[in-house]
Amino acid sequence: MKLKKMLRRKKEGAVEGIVICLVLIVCLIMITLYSIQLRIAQNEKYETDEAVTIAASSAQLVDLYQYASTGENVLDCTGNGNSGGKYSQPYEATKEACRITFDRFQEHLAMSLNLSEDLTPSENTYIKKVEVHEFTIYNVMNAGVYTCTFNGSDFTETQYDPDFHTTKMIKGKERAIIQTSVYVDIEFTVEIFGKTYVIPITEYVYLKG
Amino acid sequence: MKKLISKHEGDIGIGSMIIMILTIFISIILIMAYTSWHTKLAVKDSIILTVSSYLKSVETAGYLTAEQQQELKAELQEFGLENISFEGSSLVPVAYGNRVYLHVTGRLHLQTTPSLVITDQIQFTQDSYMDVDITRKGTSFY
Repeated sequence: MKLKKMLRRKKEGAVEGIVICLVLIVCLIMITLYSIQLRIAQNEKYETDEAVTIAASSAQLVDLYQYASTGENVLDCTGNGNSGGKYSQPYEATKEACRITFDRFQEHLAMSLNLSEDLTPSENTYIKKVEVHEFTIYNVMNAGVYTCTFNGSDFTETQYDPDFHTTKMIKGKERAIIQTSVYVDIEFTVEIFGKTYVIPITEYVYLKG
Repeated sequence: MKKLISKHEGDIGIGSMIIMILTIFISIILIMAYTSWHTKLAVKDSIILTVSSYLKSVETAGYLTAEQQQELKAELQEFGLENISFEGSSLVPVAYGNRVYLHVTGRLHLQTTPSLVITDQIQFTQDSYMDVDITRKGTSFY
């Protein structure tokens, strides 16, 4: 009887051992997959963040005509950096500059992240959706700050602030706009091994003049 | 009776042993796969960052100059990138406001991850390769 009991016990122990080993393997596989998933998500965050900053920075082109005639650093509103006096009507020119800068931003971003021109994702990337919430340009001229925004669907009318009191909440901090610049608020949805992550990115980039 | 017991014990012992060895083996493979992945992603990160930082100087110069090519090549080679080509980049000066391109292709040779050699026939080396193709577009500020 004793022997039989011992045998049973040993058998049970062996089965337990196998189960523990299997559980261990499954746990290890899950931990590995989870870590890789997180690492890819982190990688995507770095890549998109860097791409947005670089695209916003290289989308801003100084208008040479205005720079040469008045010394103001404003954004290009014709596509070749020579406005030829269009900034005498700053409302229209700023709106046009917003459109051109946004187009350029979109183009550069699409190239960096392997998306199609209008930011629709292609099949071989982790990015599944791109949403532009806000794209604002600030043209700081001698007479004041001209602001134009693309809110995801339309370009708003140019706003004019003659007193240089324009501020913007940037990453939780209110900042005065003192320089021609661009503010971008964009959201990426990435899918990695079936799990969806949302990456919100806000960047404020100065014109390099 | 004695024979029965010894047989049983033996069976269980070998079974457990095999399972344990298998577990250790799978664990090692998983850990190695993870390390390999991690290294690949980390190196890719660094390469993308390096290329992007060069886009700024390409924009300022108006094109990818010969010195920039040499510098970038040397930097990328440190990460283990082979067969580096800048084909498709803007290699002649681009007029102000026009598009400049920086296109880098190459093959990443990863040797840094550990390898596991059991015999000459059974071995897990991480001498792996990864194709790198990075395109960046900017505006000429020259």
